[in-house]
Amino acid sequence: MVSRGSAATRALRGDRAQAIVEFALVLPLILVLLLAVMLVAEIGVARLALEHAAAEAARAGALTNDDSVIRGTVAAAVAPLDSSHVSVAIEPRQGDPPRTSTPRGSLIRVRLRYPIPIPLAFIGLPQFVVEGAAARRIEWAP
Amino acid sequence: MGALTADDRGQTLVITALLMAIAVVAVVGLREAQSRLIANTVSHRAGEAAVEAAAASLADAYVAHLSSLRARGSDGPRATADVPGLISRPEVIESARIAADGLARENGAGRVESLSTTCGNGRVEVWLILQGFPHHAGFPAPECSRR
Repeated sequence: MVSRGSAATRALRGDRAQAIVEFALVLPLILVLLLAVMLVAEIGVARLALEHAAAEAARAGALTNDDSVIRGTVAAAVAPLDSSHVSVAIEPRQGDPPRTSTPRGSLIRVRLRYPIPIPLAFIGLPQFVVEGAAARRIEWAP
Repeated sequence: MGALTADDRGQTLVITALLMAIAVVAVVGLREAQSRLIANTVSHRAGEAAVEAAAASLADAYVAHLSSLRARGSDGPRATADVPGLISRPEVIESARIAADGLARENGAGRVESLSTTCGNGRVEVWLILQGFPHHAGFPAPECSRR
């Protein structure tokens, strides 16, 4: 009886040990996939926010022809992203033609870039940079 | 977690494979849904920009028309502005269409499918269809009021 009981206990302990080892082996994979789900969601949110902010900023630029207004609009419209990490490129720039003379009818383009913070960046994973862009016809006249 | 580690031999792997499959489907599904959502947003924004460009082009033609009438009026009897005639001129519509097409292309959408203009209720309105969605914009024009 004793020896049979010990064999059953050993078998049970063996099963448990194997399950623990299997679980330990696949746990990193599960965590990576969970991170991937979170990252994909975050990228989607960032893309939507950037597209929205770029469109609003381009519209503000078309109406005012003022780069500071464009940057202010980006900062206000880019939520929930951290606006201090968003880089803004405006083309043509305020000091360049045709924006210096009579820009009405020409195009203004706003391009935004936002680096997504990666949880495992310290192990050398590449950084994702999300972009949003929009163009508008300038309606402002001097 | 406890159930996972206390199950029979090999069951952990099956459950793990199932979880991983669910996660992969979630990632792929999420990406697909996001792509559609973003494409719709971009298309909508492109339509807005295109129709505003077309309306601005028409507004420029309207202002130029009024200015020329005013210049002629100083020489002789004052002429009335024929705004419905102006906004149905092929060259004016073509200019608005070129402006709309340019903006639609710049914003990542295709060509404008149709563009029409109306004059009524004190406003000039531009209607266009881009990627199946209608958009409209306009500006006040007192000459379009009923008399």
